Amino acid sequence: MRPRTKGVSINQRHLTSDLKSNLEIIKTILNESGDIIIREFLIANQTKAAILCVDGLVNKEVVQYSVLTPLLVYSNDGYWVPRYRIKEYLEKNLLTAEDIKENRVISSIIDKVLAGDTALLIDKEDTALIISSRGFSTRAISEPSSEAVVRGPRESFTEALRINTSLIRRKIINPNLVFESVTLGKVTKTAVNIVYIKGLAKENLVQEVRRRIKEIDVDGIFDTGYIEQLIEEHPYSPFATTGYTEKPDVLAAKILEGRVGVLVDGSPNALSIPLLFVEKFQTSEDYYSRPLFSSFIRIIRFISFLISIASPAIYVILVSFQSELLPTQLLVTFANAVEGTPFPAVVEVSIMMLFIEILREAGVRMPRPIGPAVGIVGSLVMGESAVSSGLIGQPLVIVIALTAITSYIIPTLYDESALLRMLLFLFSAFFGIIGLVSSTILVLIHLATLQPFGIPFMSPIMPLEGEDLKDTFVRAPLWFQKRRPKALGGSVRMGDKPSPPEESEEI
Amino acid sequence: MSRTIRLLLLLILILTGCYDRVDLNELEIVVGIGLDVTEDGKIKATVQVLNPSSLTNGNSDSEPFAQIESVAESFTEAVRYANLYSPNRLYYPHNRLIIFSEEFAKTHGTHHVIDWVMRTEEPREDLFILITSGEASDVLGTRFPTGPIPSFEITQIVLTSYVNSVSTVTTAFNYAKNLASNIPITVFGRIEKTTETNGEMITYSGGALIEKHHFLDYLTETETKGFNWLTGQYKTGLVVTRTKNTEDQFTFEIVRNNSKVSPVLKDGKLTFEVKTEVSGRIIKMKSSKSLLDPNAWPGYLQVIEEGIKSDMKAAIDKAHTTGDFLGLGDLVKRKFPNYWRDNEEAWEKIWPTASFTFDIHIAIHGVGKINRFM
Repeated sequence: MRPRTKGVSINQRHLTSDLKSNLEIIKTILNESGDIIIREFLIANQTKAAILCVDGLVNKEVVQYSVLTPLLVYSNDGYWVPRYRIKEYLEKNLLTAEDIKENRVISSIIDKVLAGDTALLIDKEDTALIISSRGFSTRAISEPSSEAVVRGPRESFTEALRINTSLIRRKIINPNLVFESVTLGKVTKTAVNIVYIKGLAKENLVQEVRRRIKEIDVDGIFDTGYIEQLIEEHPYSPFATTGYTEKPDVLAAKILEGRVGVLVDGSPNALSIPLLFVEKFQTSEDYYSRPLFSSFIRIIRFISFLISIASPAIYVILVSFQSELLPTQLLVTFANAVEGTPFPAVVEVSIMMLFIEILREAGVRMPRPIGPAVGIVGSLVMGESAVSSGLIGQPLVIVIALTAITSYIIPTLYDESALLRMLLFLFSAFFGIIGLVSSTILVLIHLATLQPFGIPFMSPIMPLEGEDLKDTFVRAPLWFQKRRPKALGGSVRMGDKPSPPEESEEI
Repeated sequence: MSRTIRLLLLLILILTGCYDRVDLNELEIVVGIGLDVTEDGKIKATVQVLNPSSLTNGNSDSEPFAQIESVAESFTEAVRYANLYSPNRLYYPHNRLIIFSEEFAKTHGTHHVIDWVMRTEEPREDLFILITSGEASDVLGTRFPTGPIPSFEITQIVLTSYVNSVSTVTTAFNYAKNLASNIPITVFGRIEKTTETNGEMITYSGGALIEKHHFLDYLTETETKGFNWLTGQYKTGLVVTRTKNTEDQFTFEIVRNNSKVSPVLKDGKLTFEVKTEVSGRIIKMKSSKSLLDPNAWPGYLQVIEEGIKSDMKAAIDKAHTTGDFLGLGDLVKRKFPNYWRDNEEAWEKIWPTASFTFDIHIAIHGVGKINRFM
């Protein structure tokens, strides 16, 4: 019997009551793959049965002690069970596995088996028992590798969805924390969870995220990055409008502010939707450390961002267009440095900007042991010798180094700042200071038009929300921020700070 | 956005091709200009340019600066032809000085220069304009032991002249402002080079009167001080004074000054009220009295007041002979526009008849760390 008959969809086919033909069908569907285990045996001294599972995806101990031992040892012990009651007897009395479900649809059974469950098929029964036995090896929960912190939780997401959801669940012990399961990917059937707190996240935001995710029609999902690209509404913008994090405490905090999270099985990065511009400058440590220093660091980040995107442009303007803006002494130094260099400043800066991007890419992709070598060759040899060989001037090295260092201060903004830097530089190289101003205006106009998931990207700066500015350029003390961000609902988050006792005359 | 528009925007970006770009190594940085008259009546422009490599590397083999001289019939030609003697384009935005020789200001006048400074985009409007009685190129080329570039040193001298307030700091912008608001005479800073036995020396004191565009007269130090008092430009300075009793000598340093001249029109008669509020401290004294004695103070205050008043009077007297360089006409014009309209023609005759009243308020804020003469 060929399963691929035309007309009847294979997905809708139900089990028959003949074990042998059921197994045949399943084997055919699974293409007799090598990692499929089918074990046939007799139960209750009379009935043929078989278990079906995938090697490596099941917890062998569960299969051994909760499935096979009861079936093979205890069911053959002597109690005579009527054949029509066998299934009920197994389910209610014998099998010690924690979760057992009945299923009749072949395709659904196969999906469960491929996800790591064990299916028990019994002769003369047209229903299979799906025994929960998932147990595949995963990476242990480790310290975050790209979001290092000095203070605060140090666990990070792993590739296993259930571990990730458990990490969130442990942070937010609340019945309103919802994990909505969606299966995506026509071929990969990847499990995706939408996370939010019911009543806290705006209902239309949740609905919109849910709708867009459910409408995804793609063969496979391997990372949250796929989902990000498929659901964002400004795909050609240089600015990412969804955030990602590998730290459960960060995602939990975002969810608690009214955002929606997305977890994908197999990805250690969780999405948070939407991402506002100011969020890129916030780190979890800002909130764990005391506010004064956090605010200072945050201002440093904003300044660094500006330096990172504008310094090559400003250098070109000062050296090639508006030299009158430099103090005379500095101009003399610059003039001496560029004396004898063969190219105009525009070409010099282009070369060096290209060079640092190449250097960074090389450093990132290199295996760990080679990394420092790349750094030494890149920074010392190339940087130093480019100057001494007269290819570029010394001040440019400072500018480029400043650009590079400042762009590493905010890793989440690296993509944006690299693109903006090139845009600003190009305009400045062609038009001088007019180019810098006009390109900055262009970028600002673009930023003002971004509205990911209906929420203004520049909020709380454009439109101005006075209340939310407490967590924008500075991080005000926690008890100043009594409400959640207005763009995300703005509900009350905390009361007053506990105060010390009134000063009494004597204790 | 249609495809055509996008293409056009792209073309705008590419076709401009770094419009207006001038790289640093194609520039010759001008830091000072001196203007003289040659014997046959032509204009000699001396342009001081920097040699960056000598300056930053401390390389003493080559000169840190060069003076390019060019002679032509007119000022603009002279400045422009200086390019003939320079490998790179002369770049004026960093020029801080224009030094006129007295001869130049007499024969050619300063108007060509101020027109060039204000009209073209390269020269700064806040460059200092100075006058010397000798050769401007000579002053510009003075060797200073304190630094390699004469223009920088002269600029520093001008900038620090506020300490004594015996000289005046005039920028091209001030001059243009005076011309625009019909103040007939502008006071330029005066710089002189003297050659002593131990080397060359630059003095920056006093001032020079330029009537519209031509040289009129010099101001002495006292007159310049008075000018600074009456125009509110007096910053800090000394009132050195001796009472009749030669034992009582002291030096008063003015630290803060707020002085203002306001015209008063009463029954058709014009008077000027000079109101000055001065505060300062005693920095040196020789006296038998203790400063703790309050009876001595009124005497001191009076002496200081006399000192200030004599400076002001010197300037007013000078103005009576040369013309109104104190900007009094402008004050009257602003305060009494109707009166000014009626009397503008006869102003030169009217103002010398106006009397001055002085209201000088002095506050001594400190006597230093000791309170009596040792």
